[in-house]
Amino acid sequence: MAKIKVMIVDDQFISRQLFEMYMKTSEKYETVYSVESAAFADTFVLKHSIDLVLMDILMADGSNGLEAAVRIKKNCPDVKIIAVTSMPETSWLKRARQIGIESFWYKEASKETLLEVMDRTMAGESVYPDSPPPVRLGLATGAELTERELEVLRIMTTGVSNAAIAKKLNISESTVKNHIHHMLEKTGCESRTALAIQARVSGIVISTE
Amino acid sequence: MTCYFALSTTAQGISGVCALLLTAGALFILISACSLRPGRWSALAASVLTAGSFLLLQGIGDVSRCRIFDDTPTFLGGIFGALPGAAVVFLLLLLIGVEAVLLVKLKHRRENMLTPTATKESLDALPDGICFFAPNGQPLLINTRMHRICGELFHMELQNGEVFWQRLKNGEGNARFLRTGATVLLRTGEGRVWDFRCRKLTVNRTEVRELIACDVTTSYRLNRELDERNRSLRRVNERLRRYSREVERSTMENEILTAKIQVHDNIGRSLLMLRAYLAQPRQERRRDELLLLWRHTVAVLKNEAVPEKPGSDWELLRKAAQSVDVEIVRDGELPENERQRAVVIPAVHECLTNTVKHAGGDRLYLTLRNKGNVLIAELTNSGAPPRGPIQETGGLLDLRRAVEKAGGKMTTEAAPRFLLRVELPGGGNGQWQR
Repeated sequence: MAKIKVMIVDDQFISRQLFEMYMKTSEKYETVYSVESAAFADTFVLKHSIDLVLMDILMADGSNGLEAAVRIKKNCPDVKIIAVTSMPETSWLKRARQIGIESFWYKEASKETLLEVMDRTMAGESVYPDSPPPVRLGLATGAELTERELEVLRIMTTGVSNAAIAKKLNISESTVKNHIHHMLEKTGCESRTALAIQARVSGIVISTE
Repeated sequence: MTCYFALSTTAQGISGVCALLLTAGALFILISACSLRPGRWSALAASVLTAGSFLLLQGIGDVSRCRIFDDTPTFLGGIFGALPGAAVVFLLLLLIGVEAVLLVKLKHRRENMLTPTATKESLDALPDGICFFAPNGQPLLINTRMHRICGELFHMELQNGEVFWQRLKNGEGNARFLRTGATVLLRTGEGRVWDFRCRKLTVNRTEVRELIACDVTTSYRLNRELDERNRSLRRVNERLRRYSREVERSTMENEILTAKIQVHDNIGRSLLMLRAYLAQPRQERRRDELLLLWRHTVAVLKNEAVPEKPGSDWELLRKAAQSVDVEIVRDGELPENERQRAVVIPAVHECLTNTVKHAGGDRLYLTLRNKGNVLIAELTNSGAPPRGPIQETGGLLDLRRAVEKAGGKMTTEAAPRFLLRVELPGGGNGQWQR
């Protein structure tokens, strides 16, 4: 029986080694490519038949696994993709579904092992966690913040003004202020700067722009 | 021709009056010329004119006296009386002409000559103080300004130049002395700053001292401002040096911190890996692989191995091209300008995808050249040309948007083979211009 061809895309050496180790220990899978950036990941799948891509999302060189997944799905829609990440960014689950990524695996928090997820994915199942791993943000948890508040917080971490946030989300500046005020109340952060820093450090929101 | 003696009484009277006025004018010219110290020739001319006028007046007077008193003419009277009347008139006109010329010259000299009064007046009009005095201190010439300065400093008239200068050099007087010595700089109660300088002059073998007080208030104020600015600049430079040292220290600390974070992350991932390893069924566990990773982490901790550095975008792109058996042939240097690079690399990426997907080529040609301030990148491939017009959708459309957002132009050609041409401004000096 032919092995399932896997491409690993992860910027961290240790993670790539870990995934490669999984493949070696498995009789079903083999590593075809192991690359450190998502920037040109879609090129690798063009010529050689790759069945599955393990795609990290946030890369150190600024490339984004979700964008690479869009290109792969466009060029080779049959290639299955499992998004892997350790970041609890809430929007990525939704975005991954929109792109058509088959499965999603949190490196440190998923109940299933990666091989289980790979097996189920190759069997035609879509394996997604119900929610991102719980993250504490001051006095609150990530789940206590609304989707809109998280959108405001995500843009706020880029250091822009309320006016810029309002323009980007197409809402009024006073609405932005209200959202920030509510987040400060929920988290107990003393200032918007403290809130933005905590949010970025925790990984609950990550702006990829 | 009628001789002068035979002329009418009226004609002789007129001649006499003219001669008298001519003589008076000649005398005036002679006296003025002596006082104004004219040149040698002017003095001679004035003397000759005066002598000639006297002789003419004397001759005309003798002729008139003989005629009135029927007396025997003198020698001079005899000569003039025998002269033709026209000759006497000519002599009169000649002398009048000479006198007119001399009067004009005298006037010019008076206008151009610097008299002692004029000298004093001009010195008084100076904004600076000036005093000439003899070696014993006796003032020879002092202007009003110097008198005023002396009055302000010592409440008295300047009576002895040498004493005045010595007192200044000793720092005496009602002023704040800013410098004493060979020259003196002081500020008076009014706020004016004076610079005193004294020097020896030799005039007609006589030694004279010249003391000058220059008003340097404005330049002193500007100098003070310049000093203050220089002090401020030194302070800023010192802060800048301290800041540079801080930046170096901060950069170093940042690098150390980054390395520490990387080591921390590696350990975290190793622990994660251990967790994943332990989650595997016992028969699938491979200790040797795990050991290899832990050794890597420990080596990083001990600085025996450098933490992995990501490859450049170009290296990654070439690696991707190699994976699909395409060689990228580049002619020209890749732009160092990040904004240009952010367009050129995706353009190559897009063409690489098209070379594999549509053209079936094994070579991608990239030509880069600068034309003035514009970077021109051209991409072709060794594959089959497009079968029809190029439809810009998906990747090419995204690329066009990126190029136009960067202020550049993108064109494509389908025949004789596929060509993508991108022109980006700011190619020469790395400056981005729109």
